[in-house]
Amino acid sequence: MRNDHPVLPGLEDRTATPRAVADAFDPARLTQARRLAGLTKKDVADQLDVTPAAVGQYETGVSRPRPDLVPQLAKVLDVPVEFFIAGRPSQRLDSSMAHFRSLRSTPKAQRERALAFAEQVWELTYALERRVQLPPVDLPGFAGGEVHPGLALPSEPTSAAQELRRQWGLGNGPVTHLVRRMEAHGIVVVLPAEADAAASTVDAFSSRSARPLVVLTRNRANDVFRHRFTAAHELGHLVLHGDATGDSRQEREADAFAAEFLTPQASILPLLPRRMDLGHLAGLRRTWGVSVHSLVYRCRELGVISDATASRTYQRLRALEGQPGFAPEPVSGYPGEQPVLLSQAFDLAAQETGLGVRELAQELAWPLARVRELLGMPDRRPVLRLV
Amino acid sequence: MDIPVSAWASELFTDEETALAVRDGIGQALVDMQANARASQLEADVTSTQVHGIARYRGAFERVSEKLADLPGAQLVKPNGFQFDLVRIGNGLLYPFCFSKKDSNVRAARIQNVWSVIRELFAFAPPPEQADLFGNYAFDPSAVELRPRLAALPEGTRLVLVPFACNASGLLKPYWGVAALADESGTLEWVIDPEPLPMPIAPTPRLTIPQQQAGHPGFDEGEQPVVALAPRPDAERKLDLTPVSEVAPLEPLINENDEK
Repeated sequence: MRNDHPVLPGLEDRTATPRAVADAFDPARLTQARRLAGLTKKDVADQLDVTPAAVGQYETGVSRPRPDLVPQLAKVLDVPVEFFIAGRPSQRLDSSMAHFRSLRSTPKAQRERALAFAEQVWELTYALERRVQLPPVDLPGFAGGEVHPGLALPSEPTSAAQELRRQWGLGNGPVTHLVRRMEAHGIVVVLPAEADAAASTVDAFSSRSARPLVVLTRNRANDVFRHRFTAAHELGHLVLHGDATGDSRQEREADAFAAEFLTPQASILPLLPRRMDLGHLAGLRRTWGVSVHSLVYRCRELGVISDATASRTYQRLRALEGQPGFAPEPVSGYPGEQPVLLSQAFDLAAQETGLGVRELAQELAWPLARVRELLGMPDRRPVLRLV
Repeated sequence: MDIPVSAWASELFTDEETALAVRDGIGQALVDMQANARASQLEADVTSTQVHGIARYRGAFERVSEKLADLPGAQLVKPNGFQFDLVRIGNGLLYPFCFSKKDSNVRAARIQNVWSVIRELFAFAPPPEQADLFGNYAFDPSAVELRPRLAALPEGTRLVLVPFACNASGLLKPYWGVAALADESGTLEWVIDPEPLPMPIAPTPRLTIPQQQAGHPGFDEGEQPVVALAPRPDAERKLDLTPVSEVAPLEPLINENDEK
């Protein structure tokens, strides 16, 4: 009898059988998928009708799931069954390799989820890098996936920021197009879609492996000025800190780095008003790309104003919230602050090697939507800005 | 997988070490030339390959002289009336040229346009072996009058040809050898057979990030830095070589340990 859905040769369904997947089951992939889905072992166990201990054993490799459980696992974790097959290039990240902003407020499960997200970004980057030569990593002190603080750059944050500005040829003015600049120096920057819960649970984080990675989440206020400060903060971690210890000292150092990197004392001090003229600060915000709030903070930090004046100014600022010159400005209005490296690398790979999203998804064993999402493909809607 | 350098090259470029450095430098320079020319072509987004041709022509001279200028004993020679520096190392004077846009036999390579400077360069080549019926040479190197900067080159200088096949689609096959100019139409008589030059797998990475101007433009003004992407060479992709994400540190050609 004639088949109603003839399949062209080469386009047959290439889904692996559950038995084949069970035979080549990679325990680490289960952990990764579970963390990405934000589920506990118990959550998975309940849906599979097995014990949490059994899921634990699948993840440690003590035992393998029965073939009939494989399709269920894939469904529960929203991945193709091939996701669990061992052998694809991967990068395991542990929490010492990633810095999380506002660490204390980041629960372990969310950190793990974000780490799994970073692992996926690494896999995507690697898949593209096999086809396209990405910009070489040009980050002083970064070699072989490790930071060597204090060698190429001073370990003191302010001096490190000054030296990096010098090495990157930034002169003494504002850092223009910060995110694009970081990419041009070989850092992979990702701004996950708003809908991506995996990453948005943490504020922002950076990680080092063969290529340093910065994940910038769309902060609640969607403010380009805060976004730039976060990017500079993560850059600070990348050049200053080897292992992430999770203590607040590293966070303070990254903040100090960001402040000096974006608004070097020698340039900004003569421009800061002695009396808190908010209109003047709003003008500085436009030029330097930092929030008025952080400029007030800088004024206090550099001894231009007292603590009491700073507090009064913050109060006055709250009254101006939402006013032009003080309202948050969406990142989407600033192309230089949005990452393009991965999507451009994909475009070039598509052009040069005929790579398609479907082929890439198959190679990574991800759902198609996941690839599109990380390549920034869905978010192409025009943005209406009222100026 | 080091390919040894031929004896003639070691002799001409002073010693084996220098000859190797010259050979590898030319390979890298031509790979860079081709990468730049292809990138220009890609950016130009036009159907004609003229852009590639110009970048290739100028790049062949500029990249080779830039790459070799710092080698010990290198001398840049700019013949009067010629736009580019040629490199002389030891007794070898290098002349890179594209002989074909197809992957054709290098032994059939010809000089496309034998104009005055080229003719004078062949004064540093051996004489052709074949004389005509009347015992005259179609081209006699000893009869060429040299312009001052070429005339000033030390005795014993020998022209080393670096012919390469190259096109905008990615073909690049460089050789080197020594040839006589058989006639004014550019026919070559190879005295030392052209040998293929080994090439590195990737061009020298370039950081094309504009420096910021002094003064204070707004944070969203000015040129956006270019995220430099390039297709990986086919060979690297086919061999599935691990991508390189960092630039290897520059190492001095000679260091104290070499003397051990």
